[in-house]
Amino acid sequence: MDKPAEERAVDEDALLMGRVAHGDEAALVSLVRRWQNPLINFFYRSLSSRADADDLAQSVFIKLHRAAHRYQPTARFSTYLFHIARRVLLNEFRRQGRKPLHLLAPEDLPSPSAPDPAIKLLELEEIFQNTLLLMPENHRSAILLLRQQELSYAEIAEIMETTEGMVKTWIFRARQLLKEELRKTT
Amino acid sequence: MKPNSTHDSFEPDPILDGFFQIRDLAPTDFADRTLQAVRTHRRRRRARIYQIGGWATGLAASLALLVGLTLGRPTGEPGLAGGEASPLAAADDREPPPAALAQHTGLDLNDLLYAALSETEKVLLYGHASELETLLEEAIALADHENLYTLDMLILLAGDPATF
Repeated sequence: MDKPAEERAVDEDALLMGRVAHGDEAALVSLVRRWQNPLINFFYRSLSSRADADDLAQSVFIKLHRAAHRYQPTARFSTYLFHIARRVLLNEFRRQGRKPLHLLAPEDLPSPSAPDPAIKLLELEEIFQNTLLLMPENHRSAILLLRQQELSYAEIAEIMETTEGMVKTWIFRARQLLKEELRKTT
Repeated sequence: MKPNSTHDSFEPDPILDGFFQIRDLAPTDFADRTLQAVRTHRRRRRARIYQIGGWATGLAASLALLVGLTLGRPTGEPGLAGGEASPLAAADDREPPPAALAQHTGLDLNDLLYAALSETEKVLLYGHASELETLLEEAIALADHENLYTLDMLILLAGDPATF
């Protein structure tokens, strides 16, 4: 019987990692192409900068390449990848020693006025992005891993080195905040 | 979903779904640039390993010379009858040579180095501590066998200029 698509994808990632460990650059390029958008989207929503998102995603792939010989496919590849990604993200925050100072507090954001749905949607996305950046890093990462990367609570707990209960709490709070801020604008 | 239905029947969930969707944000040349970055990183890594290896080899040679000068006394010491072995030489026959290379695995070395990094920064700053010298000596021996843990260790040593 054929394996489900997800399982095949998992096998393929593990195989690609095996080839990368043996110096196969084509395999590395394949892995990059498979995972570049999930990673860049994760970093973009975490930092609100396309350039930074690209740089950090590239940094993850360099680390992945360095660690390829040690990789053991005991968990889903995405869990492994986003564990590295989160460490890179935390290092970046540490390195910059920053909070996103350029952001407005949600209550200071422009009130809804534009009747055009496209403009309205852009405004909502700006509010969404700003709200994401204003919340604690663990709340933001947890909800991104769940809703954007479609990982399970157990996988998120493993990536973030915490319990599933804590992950659920963070996600609940993040979701509540996002909903409240979006509601305020309508 | 229809994220533009934002007024009367506003429902944040579908809107959120849209914002969480993964978009095609990667630049078209991202994979090629990443491959270039990996190659550059690998080249730099090797250069650092050679650099550190050269430095450590010099250090090991100096150590060996010192050990040789300390232990390499003539067999006929003053006060001994001709042909009589010195007590020191007899001791050397019974005991193994000074253990320049301990029997560490690469993993042990890695752990030791991390410990050295966290506990004694001066070891790295001045390079005078014998623990570090021994570690480097061992690292070179292991690097000959392409021990990847050792490579990581050397990279760690050579890597971040802020470490030194």
